[in-house]
Amino acid sequence: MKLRFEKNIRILTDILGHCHFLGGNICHTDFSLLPTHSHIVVQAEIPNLSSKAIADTHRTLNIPRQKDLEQNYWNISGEEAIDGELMLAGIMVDTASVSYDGKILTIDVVRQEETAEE
Amino acid sequence: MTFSKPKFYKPYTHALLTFAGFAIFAFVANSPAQIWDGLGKIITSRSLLITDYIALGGLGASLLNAAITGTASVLLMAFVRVEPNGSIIAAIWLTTGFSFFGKNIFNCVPIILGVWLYAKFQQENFSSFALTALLAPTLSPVVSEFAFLGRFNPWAELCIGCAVGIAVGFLVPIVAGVTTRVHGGYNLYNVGFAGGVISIFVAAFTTSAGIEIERPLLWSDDNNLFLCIFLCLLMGSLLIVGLLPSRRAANLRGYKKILRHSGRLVSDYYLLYGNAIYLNMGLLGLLATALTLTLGAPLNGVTLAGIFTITGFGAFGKHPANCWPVVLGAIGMALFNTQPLASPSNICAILFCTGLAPIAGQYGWVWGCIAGALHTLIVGHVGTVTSGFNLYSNGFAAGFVALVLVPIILSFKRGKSIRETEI
Repeated sequence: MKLRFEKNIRILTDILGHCHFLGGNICHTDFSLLPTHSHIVVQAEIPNLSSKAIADTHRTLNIPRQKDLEQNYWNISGEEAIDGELMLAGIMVDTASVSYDGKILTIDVVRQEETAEE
Repeated sequence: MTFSKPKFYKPYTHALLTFAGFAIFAFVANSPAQIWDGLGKIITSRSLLITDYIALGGLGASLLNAAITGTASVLLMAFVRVEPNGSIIAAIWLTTGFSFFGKNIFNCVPIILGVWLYAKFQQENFSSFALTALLAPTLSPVVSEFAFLGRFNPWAELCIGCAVGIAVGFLVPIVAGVTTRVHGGYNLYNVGFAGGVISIFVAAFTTSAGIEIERPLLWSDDNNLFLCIFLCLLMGSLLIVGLLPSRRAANLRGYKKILRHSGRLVSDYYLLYGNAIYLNMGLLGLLATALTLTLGAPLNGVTLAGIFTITGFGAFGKHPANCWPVVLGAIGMALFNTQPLASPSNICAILFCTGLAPIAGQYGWVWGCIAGALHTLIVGHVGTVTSGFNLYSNGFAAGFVALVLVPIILSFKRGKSIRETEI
């Protein structure tokens, strides 16, 4: 899989940018590159997050993965993740869950990686 | 290119029906003999900027050319089984629009073959380069120019044209992959910027080889009524799809959300909001048509390309709220230059400056106006260095505007965090 590390770093950056956009200045990350998949968990301390913001985050991260266009979108999106939009991360991950307990926003995404046989 | 059983997703079926409508309009406009004759002129033209195919081959032939090229684009996507998304829909509309103004089935194919060769070279599926393949024919005048040079044996020229087309097609994915670093995703016409860079080298080669490039200016202005009816029906059909009773409420909700996006790459409205894009596309198309006519410009091949491009990018980055500031800035600058407001260069700049809409979406309407004004200022100068080989010359100019303007904007915002500036 070409550029595996770089792409996962971009997903992490996009999620962190989004959390910051929502008001989270303290974030904890768990970043795992495993043989078959990558697993990223971000927990951000955000007080008073609206249910609409949570729903929007969930919907964007659960866009169907676009394997064919992933490379292209990754190329054209530039190098900054400053706008807080999660579109690129959404098309690059297979599953995503978003939860909020009134104080901590938890975003958990999994990206299946192509193995050499594929 | 791996062809399997084609998969016709709904947006592809909708596009094919639309292009069937184009063909019907073609035969309403002209007789089959006129269309055949016009199509021959279009395919054998050198197609450099500005070649309005309506002026060259007539209304019917241009409409049929657009129908053929658009249908071929959709079939290519269906056969390589690319799932539809905003960028593919935008690229199909852009290709169709530029089929009134520089693209035809002959000069597109070698370039797409070049992209396919690059995919093979990279040992990747062609479907991963489908978007680039649709957009790469920004350099299609290169194929026509070399193929119909009129200096050597016609068959040899034809072969040279195809070979050069394949070569530049091979280069487009490489260059387009890095040009985004220049504009940071704020230029929606990224391949136009890449095409501009490549065409500088092509233009330099032709100059050094002693080949004189004669820039044409074919510009028709006598089909306003017919094309206005055509565009109103076309945009109306998009609005109808967006307002179908079964999805009306969801689409209207989705459309409200589209209007909140900055539009910066990647803003794929189709993946996020589905058929709500048709509302956006139809509305943008009608607004662009009204703007063109209000400014006193004719509806012709060139303005149709602009209107179709705006419409297509309604699925991928543009909406009225991020387009109006750049258009306003472009009109403001056009009022101050020596050309009439409705001159070809000004009207092209006004329609195509919307490639910079993400600047307005991200940084506000004032910076959007400045972006539009700067675009109008430089587009003519930037176009000359490419000798008319790059059809998306406005994308080339927009790249330079973003390159200069975005760092300036950021320097004004220095010291503030993202949240402070964006919320």
